[in-house]
Amino acid sequence: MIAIEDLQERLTGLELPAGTVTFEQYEAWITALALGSPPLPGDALHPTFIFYAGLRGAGYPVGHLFDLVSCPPEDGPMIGEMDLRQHRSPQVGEELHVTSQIVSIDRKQGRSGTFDVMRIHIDVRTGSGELVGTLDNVFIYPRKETT
Amino acid sequence: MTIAVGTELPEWRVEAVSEQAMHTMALFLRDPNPIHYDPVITEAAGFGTRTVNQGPSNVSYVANMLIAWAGEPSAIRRLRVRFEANVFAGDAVTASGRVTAIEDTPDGTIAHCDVNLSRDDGARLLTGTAEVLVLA
Repeated sequence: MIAIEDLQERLTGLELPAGTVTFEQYEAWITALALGSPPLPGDALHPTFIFYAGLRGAGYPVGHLFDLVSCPPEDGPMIGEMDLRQHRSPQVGEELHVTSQIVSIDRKQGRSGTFDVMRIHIDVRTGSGELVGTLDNVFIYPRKETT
Repeated sequence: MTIAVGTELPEWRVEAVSEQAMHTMALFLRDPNPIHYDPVITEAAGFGTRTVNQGPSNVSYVANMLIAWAGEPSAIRRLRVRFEANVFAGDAVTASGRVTAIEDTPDGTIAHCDVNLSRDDGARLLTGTAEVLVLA
């Protein structure tokens, strides 16, 4: 099992690669169908697109969050908490700029064994710098003796 | 919209969480985690034989309830949740909520709410709080 001290030294405060994302109308339509969303006005996107922007618009794939902490997807990493703030609705066709930073990583013991808890802060802005929303996510990484 | 402390939000019901929707969201999110699409790996990881819904999709059910109540997606100013348990393909789940406080702010009146998502067997899946702008 990777030492938590090593992870903390390497990751705490680390700014992750920034990136951009633009959601198309068909993506809004298909995800609304998948999630059973109520009708949304005009080009407004569902509030959870703040979260989706944080994933899709980051300058790294989702799997990078697993690789960073040496936790393979088959070990069952998952999100534990989400704090989503929406300043306004993101819009279809709008380029969103995403920056993210690892706030902390800690090791804990629970009924299911050892797991690591990583907190990430994400800002979602327009190209002109207007803040559209923020996220404070907590990811849970189960630890097995072999990982 | 007339609200007061104690107002119960209209529930939002999902009769059966769709495995196909998990596949759609895995593609949309570029999420390689196999517990969302591969029942064999899901079982090997100790989650049972049904695939696990993406956590943000569970949040979406709560957000759907808030949008339907507020009438406008931009009215949701904050949604803070803790994931208490997994949601599996086929689960019937219900989002519910209750107004706990009303606050006048420079942006308008904000309703503070407790929100949660539960399964029909009573399992608590997601709990949290929301701040919703009350539209005139």
